[in-house]
Amino acid sequence: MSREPVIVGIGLSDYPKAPHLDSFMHIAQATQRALEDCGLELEDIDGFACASMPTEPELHVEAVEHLGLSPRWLNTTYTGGSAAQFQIPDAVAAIREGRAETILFAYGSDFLTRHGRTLGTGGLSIDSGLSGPLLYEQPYGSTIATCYALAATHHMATYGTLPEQLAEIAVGVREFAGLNPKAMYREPLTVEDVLASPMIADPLHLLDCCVVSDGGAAFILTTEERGRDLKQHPIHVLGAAGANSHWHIHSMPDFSTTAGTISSQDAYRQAGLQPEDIDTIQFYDSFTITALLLLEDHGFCAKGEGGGFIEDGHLRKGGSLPMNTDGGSLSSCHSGMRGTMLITEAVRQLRGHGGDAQVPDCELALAAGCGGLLSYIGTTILGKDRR
Amino acid sequence: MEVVDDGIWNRVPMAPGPIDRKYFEAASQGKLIIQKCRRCENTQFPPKMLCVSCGEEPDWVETSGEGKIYTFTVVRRHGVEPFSTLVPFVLAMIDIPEGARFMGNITEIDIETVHVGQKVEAYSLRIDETMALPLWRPI
Repeated sequence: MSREPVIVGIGLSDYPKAPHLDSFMHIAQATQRALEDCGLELEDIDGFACASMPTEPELHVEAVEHLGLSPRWLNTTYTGGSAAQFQIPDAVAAIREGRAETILFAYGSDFLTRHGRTLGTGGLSIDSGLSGPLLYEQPYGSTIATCYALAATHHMATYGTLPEQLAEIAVGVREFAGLNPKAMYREPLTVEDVLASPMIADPLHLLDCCVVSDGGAAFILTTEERGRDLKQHPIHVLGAAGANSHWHIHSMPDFSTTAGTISSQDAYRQAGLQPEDIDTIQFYDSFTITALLLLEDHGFCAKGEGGGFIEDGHLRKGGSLPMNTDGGSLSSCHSGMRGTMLITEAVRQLRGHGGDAQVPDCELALAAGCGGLLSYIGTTILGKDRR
Repeated sequence: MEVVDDGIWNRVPMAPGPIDRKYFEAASQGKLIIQKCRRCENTQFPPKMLCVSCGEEPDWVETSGEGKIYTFTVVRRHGVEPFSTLVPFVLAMIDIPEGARFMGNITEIDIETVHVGQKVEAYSLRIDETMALPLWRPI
């Protein structure tokens, strides 16, 4: 009786624009679709993982009620966009130890419909009585985009990385978005298009920044034993770890290095794998620089060599390491926190259900979430088969 | 450091807690201060109740108010007033030799020539009668 953890069901709610859904409906719809995908029933769920955005701080407990769940295992750890990656290690342990049989991960947000597109440039700033660590950032006009721009400038000044190399990330992800009928933007891009788009915060242009959308995702984790009888080929969780270095950007120790250096090593060790074993990566691409730092910190190239690696086309369709095969958050869908969607897309690829975007002979996928301001990095390694 | 009063503090309403308030009060008296641990001599900023290195309660020390740009961006788009009317402006991280890193705006600077490693000095902008916000300009 194997209690090894496997992902058996995945589902996405309507995106990128879904004014007919609120956040709870996104979660409910993604859950319905994940259950339908694998053939399990809502009553089978006895564990629940969900994280709340600061804009909806009680979403996790409200979602439990909305879905009618009484979970005996619950994890609501919030680390921003890497929340799912930080919840997976304990979920995996809970499955192995029998603290839960079947765990539902779900996230959803009507972010675009509710807040519009101003998240990255400070539209959500609080404007009454500032206290705490943001005292040392907000009076200077800091936004999410400026935080990532500070890292991009640092990487360029330290390693000679070029705007063209960052732009190539957006171009490659857009190519995959063109193969996803639901992606927010699907028209092909060139490096010149990215560089000609309006500058938001030097050196990041508009097309170096992710979209803001509505959307939700769910996936279901259970035992290998249970997974055998369900509708889909079960996908194994081979390694899962998270690490942090700071929360606010002002406390980042080195603006070119994330805690992905730690989370990736933990995950590789658990899986008994090396970077060169991985067939596809699903990376948090809130900004082009986010993906570049994750690429280096997960060991796919040396620190500082990400620009050249990207320029060589490895991340493209047909490359040695195709990245963000659904169009990522740069072109397809970003509804606040994308960690769950990194997993659903990795599973789609490992099942061989990628359609025109299918990575050939895809047996091992690595998903890396980035939460906060390059702060909390989570790594999940998934495999088509047990190793 | 110089304390400048332009008479129109409109950036963000400031409601610092007890430790943070000391920093902004010092700035209104022309001092840029950071914390230094009385036990392990670790320096830290922003200020905290405890030394993040050893847990002891840190002391405050005054700095020279001079540093170098660690990294920067030129902010071109902002969604919130008054910053939306101030663009383009320089937002930077500044390292000081005493062992601390600050976020700050670099003013009185050419946005075409601002660069990593550039030497800057602190001054402060009056918030109210008791507090001021440190800013930076080229030396």
